Amino acid sequence: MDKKHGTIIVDGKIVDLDKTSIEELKKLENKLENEIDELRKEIDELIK
Amino acid sequence: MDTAKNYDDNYEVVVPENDDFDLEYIDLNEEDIINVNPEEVLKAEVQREKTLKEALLNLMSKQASLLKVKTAEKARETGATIDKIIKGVEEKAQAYEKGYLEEKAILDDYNKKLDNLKSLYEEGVDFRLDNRDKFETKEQVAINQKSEAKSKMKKMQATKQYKEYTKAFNKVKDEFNQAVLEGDTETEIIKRKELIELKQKDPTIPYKREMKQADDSISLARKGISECDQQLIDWLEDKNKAIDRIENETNQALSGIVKQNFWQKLIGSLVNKFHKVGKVAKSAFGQIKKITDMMDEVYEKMNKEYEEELNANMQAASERAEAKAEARAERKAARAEKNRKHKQDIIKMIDERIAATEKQLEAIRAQRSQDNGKSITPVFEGGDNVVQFDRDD
Repeated sequence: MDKKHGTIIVDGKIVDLDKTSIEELKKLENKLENEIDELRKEIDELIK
Repeated sequence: MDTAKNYDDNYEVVVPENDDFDLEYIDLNEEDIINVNPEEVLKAEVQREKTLKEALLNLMSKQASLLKVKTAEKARETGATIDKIIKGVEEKAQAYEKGYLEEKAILDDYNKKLDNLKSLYEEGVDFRLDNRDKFETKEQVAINQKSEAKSKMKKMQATKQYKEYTKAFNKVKDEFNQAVLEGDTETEIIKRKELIELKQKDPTIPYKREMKQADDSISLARKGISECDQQLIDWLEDKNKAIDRIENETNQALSGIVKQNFWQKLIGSLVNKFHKVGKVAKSAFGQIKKITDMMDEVYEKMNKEYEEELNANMQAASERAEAKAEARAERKAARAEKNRKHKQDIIKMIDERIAATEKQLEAIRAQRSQDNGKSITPVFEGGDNVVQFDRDD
């Protein structure tokens, strides 16, 4: 792999993206998208 | 122009002059407005903005993580497939050293073209993810703008100025309702006109307008994010189709070598294997050359589509014209730094607003304690105006 994508923190754990399988990356993507949707709802409520 | 009826977002917009509108929506609750406690308003505002700051930081962090995950995922998909194809061809070709050495130039060309395609896909993915990031920053900026306007509006609604406005408005509204009940059309017309004029003088209108504008910006930014996601899906679908085609054609071309390998193992000692291997391998390399030409077509097609998109973005187009991979990476890092600074600024602005509101809150409390138990409505900044409150007693 010629690209370093670094790490992210998910649920308090460090995840090395270069060592994560594509399937796991897809799961992470869905999880983050759902969490972002929830945060948007919370923010919309706060600035309503 | 639209009238000031209830909007989904539960606040109103400017009522234009000469616009008739349904008065039913006007329902300023006089008791609520008159009895509003500025200290409670400020306390609630501090809490609201602190919660917003936490939520926004969380959003920024998750959006940054999502960007990293998407980048890793897309690069991995493309890279793994292409590397697998290159490795497969290399391994099979090297199994036939004679043919491999003779036709190495064809293989090198093939690998180079695949690498070019890989770079093009990665560049296209980066471009779309950069755009996505820009829309996310726009969304965050607009959220901050709306929160700021809301904060000003809340403070304004706790001022003496607004209380007086509400009293005046409700007085005319009562007169209007009375005229409607009594069937006094003449008074009804006059009071309706007065109500429209008063509505236009609503001191919270500038903030409501800002909130509406910020709402539009938030919607646009979120639409932009969705569009970037769709463009990314389309781009990757095109890429997958092209890669699949190359892989299939390559496998077909190499099948002759694979068959020959099997045949060689069985009866290689009985025939002039080098002659035959060379012949079959040569034929396979000939097909690989054809695939390389096909890749030129794929590259041109994808590149043309990408150029069309870039043309909509002059800066990116001019950057790409001269860009080498390293220079592009540097510019990308600079853009990321700019976005990071932008996000920091947003949080700083919220922090400053919280500090200012807390200062106003302290002033109110200090004034209350000085007043030694007397009921007083103290001084604080309401929206853009500094308002001196009267004593309530």
